[in-house]
Amino acid sequence: MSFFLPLLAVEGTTVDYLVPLAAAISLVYSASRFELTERVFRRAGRLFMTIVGFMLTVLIVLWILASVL
Amino acid sequence: MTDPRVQLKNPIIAGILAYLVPGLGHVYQGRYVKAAIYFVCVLGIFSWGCSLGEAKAVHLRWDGPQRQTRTRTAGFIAQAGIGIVAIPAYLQFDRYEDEITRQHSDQQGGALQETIDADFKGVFTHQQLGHGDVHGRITGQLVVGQYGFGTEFNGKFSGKTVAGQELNLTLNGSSQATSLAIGPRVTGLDDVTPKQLNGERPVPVYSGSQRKFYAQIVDAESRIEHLGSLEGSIPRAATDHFLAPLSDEAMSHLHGRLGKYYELALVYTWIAGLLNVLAIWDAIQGPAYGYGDEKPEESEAEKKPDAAPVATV
Repeated sequence: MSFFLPLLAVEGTTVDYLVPLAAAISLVYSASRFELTERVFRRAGRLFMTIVGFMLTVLIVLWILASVL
Repeated sequence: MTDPRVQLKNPIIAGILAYLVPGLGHVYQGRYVKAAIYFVCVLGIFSWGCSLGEAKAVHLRWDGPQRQTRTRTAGFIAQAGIGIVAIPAYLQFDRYEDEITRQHSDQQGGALQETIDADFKGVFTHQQLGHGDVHGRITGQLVVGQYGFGTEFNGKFSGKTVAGQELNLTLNGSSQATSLAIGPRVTGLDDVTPKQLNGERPVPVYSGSQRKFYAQIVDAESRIEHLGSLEGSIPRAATDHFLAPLSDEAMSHLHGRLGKYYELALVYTWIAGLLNVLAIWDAIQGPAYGYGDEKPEESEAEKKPDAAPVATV
């Protein structure tokens, strides 16, 4: 776990700007797909987690590559 | 086919309203939750982007088919998804182009006529009074130059030096004789370079909110004898620099000063513009997948109960 701590410390500032962007994209995209509010928010939440998860995966892969190479 | 429970009213009007202000089309249709989502998310991201880019991330400028111009224009096309921003930016571009044309036509006799009455901040040099920083007010008239060439300025400065000494100066200058330099009304062409008289290197300040001002100080009686010069900046009205095009130097300066935040500002405003396209489409056509309470389609096996069972071992 301590291996990833520097990653969070260094990249946190930039990533912070992308999280609200991902939330807005998820909400707007989901709102344009469905009308029912509950469905919109549920889908937006899932999409947000997918985007953030993908970003974190890429971040971790890049971090490992940068550390190893 | 749009779900009948979704009331689109007049989709064209809703689409236009949604284009002008994110969420406004949905307010017109009575879809308030969606209106709030679009308004907060799209305008929120857009405003954040504008704030990161010091309100200079959105502008239109076209100088010809160079690579840099094409990139800028492509960016503006994305930002143009929000009408309330795209329309003023286009109007500012139009005014900017007019001003460029007018400046080029100076040699043929065309020139800008304008009354100047603005706060001034800068430096002065005077044969008798010395030199130093001053602030005060400039009043005067910018007129067409002699024989229709260039522009001339006749006016006054009244203000104080940093030491508190009162100054009343008579100003005169001609753009043809390089004794006058004043920034354009609409931003984008030049920088403000306060002359540093204490030996420091001049520092250019690229800012759309300021116009460069330089004129000669003349004798109040004769209005001919040159006594020194006044150089600094006067403010430009917000309507003359907000969403107006920037010069290449100003762009480079912004990039250098803001770094990645200017890039983030561009990305935020591009994405906000593109997201509003989804909102416009939703206002015109309704939700893409349906109302949201539809049951998932039955599987093939459920549809055909008498189908042969899959063999298992």
